[in-house]
This record gives sequence, structure tokens and C-alpha cells, in this order.
Amino acid sequence: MRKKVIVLALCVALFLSLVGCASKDAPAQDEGTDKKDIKVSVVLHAMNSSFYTKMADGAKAAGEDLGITVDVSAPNTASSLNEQVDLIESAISVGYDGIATVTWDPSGFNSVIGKANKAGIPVVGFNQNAEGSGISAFVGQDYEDAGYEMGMYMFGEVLNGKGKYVVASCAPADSALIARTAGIEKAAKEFPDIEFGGVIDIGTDLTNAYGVIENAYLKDPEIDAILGVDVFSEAIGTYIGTNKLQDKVKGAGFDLVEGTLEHVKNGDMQLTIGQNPFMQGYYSVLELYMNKAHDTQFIDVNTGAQMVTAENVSEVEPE
Amino acid sequence: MGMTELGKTARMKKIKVFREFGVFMVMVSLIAILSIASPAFLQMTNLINIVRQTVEIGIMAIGMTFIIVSAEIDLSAGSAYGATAMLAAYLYKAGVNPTLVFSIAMLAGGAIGFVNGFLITKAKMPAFIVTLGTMQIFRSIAYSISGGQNISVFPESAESSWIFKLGGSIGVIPIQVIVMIAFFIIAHMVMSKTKFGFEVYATGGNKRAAQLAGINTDRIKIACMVIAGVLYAFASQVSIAYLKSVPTTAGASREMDAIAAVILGGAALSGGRGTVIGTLIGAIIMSVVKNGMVLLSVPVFWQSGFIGVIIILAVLLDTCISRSNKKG
Repeated sequence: MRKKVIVLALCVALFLSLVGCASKDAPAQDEGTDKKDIKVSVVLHAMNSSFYTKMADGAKAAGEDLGITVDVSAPNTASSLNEQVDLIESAISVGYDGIATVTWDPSGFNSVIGKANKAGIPVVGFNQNAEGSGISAFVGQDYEDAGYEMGMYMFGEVLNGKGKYVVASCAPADSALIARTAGIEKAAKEFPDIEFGGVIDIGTDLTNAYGVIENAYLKDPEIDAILGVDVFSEAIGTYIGTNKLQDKVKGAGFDLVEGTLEHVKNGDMQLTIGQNPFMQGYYSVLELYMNKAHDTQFIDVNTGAQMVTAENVSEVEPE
Repeated sequence: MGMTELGKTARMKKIKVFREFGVFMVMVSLIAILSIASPAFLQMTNLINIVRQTVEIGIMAIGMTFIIVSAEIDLSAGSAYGATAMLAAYLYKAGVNPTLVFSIAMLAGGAIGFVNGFLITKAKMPAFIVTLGTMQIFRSIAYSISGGQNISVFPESAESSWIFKLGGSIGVIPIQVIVMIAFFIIAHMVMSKTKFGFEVYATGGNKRAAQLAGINTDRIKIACMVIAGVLYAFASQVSIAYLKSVPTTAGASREMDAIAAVILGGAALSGGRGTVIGTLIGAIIMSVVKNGMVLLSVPVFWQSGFIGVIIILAVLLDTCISRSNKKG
């Protein structure tokens, strides 16, 4: 009996500590003014990369700068549509003033965003866009343009208009990565001697990604360039650097994680493109705040394509 | 039957009823705490959300209960869910008759379960290894069917069918919740009132003794796997009806949630013990905890950890109560 009581007490204590955390984080109500405590929920699709952490940091920074509450959540399993929808539903129940989420599925979020809108809660999509999902605005990069810029630089400046390339993607079905790949292919059409060698699925684990790239190059040593379209393109530089292939194979990728920047510094990769995840998180929260506090209209925000090469890599902070 | 026998029977019934008591108390405690900590918890919308969010894992966990009670395990549940979801989505999108598609998905789920069961029983391979392998195979099948693409935007012929009505509601009650409850009632009756249910417990409790008693334990295990496969497929159809989209990652890691719900509900991984009612409570606990993380604004990096701690404490409490009951 005593053991039961102790264990039950532990459960209660644990949850009370959760309650304590929540109470501490919530801003105190100022009873003397009319200022409404604005609460925004940011629902990411994953937290298994520093890139996503940066988005969360941006969102939280906006909360601090604006004096509002920003709560961040993410599914336990990366890119789990069901879990992410569940989190958004829970956020609707809580009654957040706005929700910012990564709308990575073409239509899977339509229903839950519709529920949010019906409850009077605007939803801003960021990082990845799903047209027709019902979001009030999108904050992120124009993916096809970014892919096009990568292609133009790599095929024109690096390969001098001639060679064979493959695209390395962590999620070939992801709409944003498909758009980047399309941009690269669009650029390739402007160089008749550039040959496309296909798309390889490197997954979301760097060790696994390295192995896939290794196998792809072993299968086709004629490859002159490996172009990554996501944050896991760091593995491209790792492979090229480890195997001292800098003279034979050129590499490019996305995002400014420390490892990728190091590869650009070392010459293992020639280009990486930033998309400013911090600002994606920040502007998403800012939009929701401005709409709630000042009734401003929502607008789409293009966070741009920051080209980082050996020339300017030392000026860039890692994400 | 003598008085001693009657007494033993009564005591055993008492233990059986109390088997879920521990985890039931955990659920009640969590609900009580969250009700106090967050005014949003007891809102009708939130409670309905919690129950709706239990459906997918709950239905999968029913199948997993059969498997675990029979002293096996199935790590391919999530991939089986994903493969049947993709197959059905592909066929819905192609304009195939929705009822036919649904039937094909159920058959596919059953076939998947049969493959697992056959390899485990006839090839005498450990379930952990078999289902670890089939987990990869079924995920590949899902990718191959879809060509690595998400499938969404289904034709009107599909979305107007009775299957997609599963994603709708009757009043405020989601239809899928009603269906889930029906499944749990049926499964409970099967496990507790039928010869088949008795044979599942016997097979899991002591396989050799069950065989000596004339039970075809291989057939029982295969049947459990087939039942589970069909339920995984059904859960995937519910998800399609609700989300109207099937990502390539559909079902990823869902097997761990299903297993956790079953173990939380008091089942023993060694087999022979566990109830469908316990599984339902376990599944609800998981949904309540996940909901609570959002309601209480738990920092995102702590959320997985807290879920893990709650699961461990819940099982610990249930174990203590079960031991006390047995001593009593």
C-alpha cells in the first residue's frame, strides 16, 4: 500500500512540477491595463536538426521582443502528419491567438487549418508552403528560384557549363525539395552540356546520407557534382572531404549549419544557400502579433536565398 | 464446485477486474491534474480531440494486444499501416470503386499479418527479427507504390463514399470514435468470452501447456497477426478519411506508440497477460499526456522525455498495484 502511495505521489509531484514550469513561463496578467496577453503557438514538423532549432529560436525571440507568449511544439517523429495535426488541434483547444506551422504536406493540413480559421485563429505557414491549405500568409523562401540560383552558379561558374550532376534529397516527395530540384533542372536546361544523373534519397540521418552518396558515386564515378536540396546536404561535403575528391567532384547544398559552412571553407563544397530560418520563425510570429494587436493584413514574406561561397563564408554565422 | 474453489474463482475475478485498476487510477489522476492545471482541458472540444486522437493508435493497439498476449511482438505495424495506406490512396486516386479499395486494403493488411505469422511459426524465426525485416520491406512497398510521392486530393467518387465518411462527425462526436469504441467492445468480447480468446491467453501464458491441451498454437499466433494486420489497415483508412492525404512517412514509428499503449494497459511482453480494456486506457493516457504537453506549454525539448517518464511511472504504479493484489 505504501509503495502505491509513494508512486502515485511521484506522479502527482511530476505533473505539479510541469504545472509549475507552465505557470512560471506564462506572463503575469496586468490587471490595471487593457493589454491583452497574446499567445502564439508555433508547431514545427521536426526538431532533429539545428536548422529547425533556429526557427524555434526566431519564434521565441519575436515573443520576447514583442512581449507576448510563444509556445513551440513538434511531433516526436519527424514529419509525422498525424502527430502534427494533433498538436495543432490541441493548440486550437487551448485558444491561442494565432498558430504558425510548417505546412509541408500539400493537403494534409487543410482540415485542421479550416478548424482553426473557423475558431477565429489565423494560421501562418512558414518554411514550406502548401497552396490552398487556408493559411493566412506564407513566410519562407521561393524554393524554385533558390534551386535555379544554385544551378546557375554551379553549372556556370563551377562546372563551366559541362559535366554530370545528381541531386541529393532527404525527402524526394517533399514539395519544397521538389521545387528546388525543379529550379536546378530549369537552370540545367540553359547549359546543353550539363547532364542530369538522377535524384538520390539520402534520408534524414547524416551517417545514412554518407553511405547513400558513397554508393551513388561508386556506381557512377562520372559524376562531377552533387547538389543537395536540404539541410542534410552537409553529408555531401563530408563525403567529398573524407575521400579527397575535391578536384573531381563539386558539392553544393542548402542551409548554414556549422558543418556545411566548414565544408565550404575547406573547399569540400563550393556553395550553400541560406534561407534564414531564424527570420522565418520570427516573421511568422510577428505577422500573427501585428494582425492580432493592430489588425494588419497578412502578407507573404520571402526570406530570400543567401548565397554563401568561399568568398563570403567567413562573414556568415552558423545556424 | 467446493467452497475453496468458489473462493479462488471469486478472488481471481477480483484480480482480473483490478488488473486495470492501477492504470485506470493513473488515467484518472492525470485527468484530474490537467483539469486543475489548465482551464482548456475540460472544454468539450479538447476532450473530443483527445478521444479522436486516440483512435488511430487505439485501433492499432487492439491488434497489438492480441499479438503481445500471444507472446509475440510486431515491429512492422507502422510500416504495414503505411503500405496499406499508400496502396489504398493510390487506388482511390485512380478512381477504383472505394468499397473495393477498402476491401483490398483490408486483405492486404491481413496478408501482411499472415506473412509475419507464417515466418514466425513455420520458419521458427523470432518475431522481433521477422517484423524488423518486414518493417523495412513494407516501408519500401509503400515508397514503391507512391513513387516516393505523397498522395492527396482524391476524386469526388472517393470522397463522397461511405469510407471517407469515417472522417466526419455525427453532431460533435467523430464517427471514427464510435467505430473505435465498437472495435474495443468486440475485441473485449472475443478475448474474454470466446474459445479463441482463451486460446490466445493460453498460448501466450504457456505455449507448451497449451499445445498439450490440444491448442494449435501456430494457428493462434498466425490468427493474431492477421487480425492485427487488418486492424492496422483499418486504422490507415480512418486516417485517410480524416486527413485526406497520405505522406510517404505515414505510420512511421507508430508501432512504438501501439506497443506502449498495450504495455501501459498492463499487458506483459512475455505473453499471457493483458486486456483490451487496459489497452484502451493505455492509449487514452498517451493521448492525454501528449495533449497535456501542449496545454501546459511544456518546453518542446522536454516533451518526449516527459512522455517517457509518465509511461514508466504509469507502468510502475500498475505493477505495484498488481503485485499487491496478488499478495492479497
